[in-house]
Amino acid sequence: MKKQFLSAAITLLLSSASSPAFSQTGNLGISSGTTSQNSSQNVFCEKSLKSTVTRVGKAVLPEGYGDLKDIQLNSDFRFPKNDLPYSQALAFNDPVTGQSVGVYDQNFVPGGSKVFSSWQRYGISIGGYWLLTTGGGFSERIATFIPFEADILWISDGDSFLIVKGCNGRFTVTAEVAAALLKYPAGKNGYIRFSTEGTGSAVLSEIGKDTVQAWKKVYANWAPATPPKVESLGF
Amino acid sequence: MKDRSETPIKIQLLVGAIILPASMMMSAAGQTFKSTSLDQNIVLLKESGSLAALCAKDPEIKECKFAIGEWKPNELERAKLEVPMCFDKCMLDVFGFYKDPDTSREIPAVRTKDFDGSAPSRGFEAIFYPVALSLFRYEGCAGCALIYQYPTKVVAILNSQSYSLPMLARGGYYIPSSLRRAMINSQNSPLTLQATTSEGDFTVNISAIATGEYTKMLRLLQYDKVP
Repeated sequence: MKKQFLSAAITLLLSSASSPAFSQTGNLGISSGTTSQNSSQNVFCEKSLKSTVTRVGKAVLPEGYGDLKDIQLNSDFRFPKNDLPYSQALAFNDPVTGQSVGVYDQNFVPGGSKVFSSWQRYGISIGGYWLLTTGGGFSERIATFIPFEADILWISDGDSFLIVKGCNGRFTVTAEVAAALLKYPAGKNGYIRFSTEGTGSAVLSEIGKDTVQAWKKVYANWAPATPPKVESLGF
Repeated sequence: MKDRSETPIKIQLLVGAIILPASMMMSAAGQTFKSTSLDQNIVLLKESGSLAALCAKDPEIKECKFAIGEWKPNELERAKLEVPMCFDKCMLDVFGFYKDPDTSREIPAVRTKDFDGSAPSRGFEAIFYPVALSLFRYEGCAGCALIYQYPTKVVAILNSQSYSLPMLARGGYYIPSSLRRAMINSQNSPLTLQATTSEGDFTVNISAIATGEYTKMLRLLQYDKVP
């Protein structure tokens, strides 16, 4: 039951990472030597008492994603059943944020800790739970699931690596992040490193080769454009 | 004497030099104004973004010249009086103009579905527009996300004759003039669509009722007059 609750919580965490939000905007390139620092707007991380309203245009997928399953996100929190495939590029149609493309990944020890990640065109979310066990032997074995959300993400990028800061398990995908993920070698598992809220240690986590392959579609190089509608072409 | 005999030849050459390029230019110009079918302008149709925009730009295209669309507003308003008008969607297997809730455009369409009665949450939905078809496979279940899949190739079969439908957009296919003509000529014949998706090949059956309604649309919008 507890595991089911955790699973539902993870589903909610991963469900809305498809926002085109604030992506690739506000990059302030400051470089010195071998390090560079870019900041980008991520309203999820704004922590102030100020009320704000941000308007974001709904995303529309360009041509080239016709072969993907198009998931209509029309079942809300009352139906946490989420049987969408992992490690497969999927198109999404969110009634609130518009169209997107992404891939889900999971990395786990059977019956133990689990890392869920959602790699969307405009946002990444990473969460999961750690399984801690105490007791055993002559005393009762107690398993405790501790949910977590990542807040810092390390991504390999050729001779360098990117440190991406987010919050509540969410990260904005900038052009630089997309390009780095696109560069991961195909046909091989990839690695990411992340730290979770409230801890300083960084965990190494493997990304399956199918997910790495799916990044080639998700982060393919295209500029947003609105393709014509079938009804307009047909009449 | 020598000069006199040579003069007419020179004049002939001169006249020939002037007339030949002029006639070639006229021929080339003639080809520009020659009416072509929409079949030869599919790329232009995609670039224009809509049939109405293409017809406004090139009214000599046969479909633009003979058929009715937004480029002929008076005739179109008259045609709208003949069929039902619906908000958002019309009933299945009925030709009507539906009002797009986003743009308020009134679009003629015939919407139909092909599904197994024992599993109605899985099947194909097809929407016929005058020169295009929207086709997708849907799969749902109680409480889970609805999944659409768009065919990567569609072949229509009518009376044992195959017609390949070029892809216009995700889930959007062009209906060639040969298929339109064949459907007008065989009004109550069912249509079969062979759809190839990443999940496999599927056969989609379009009922005689739906094809009859599509033919009604083509006739009302005078696509039967397109030579």
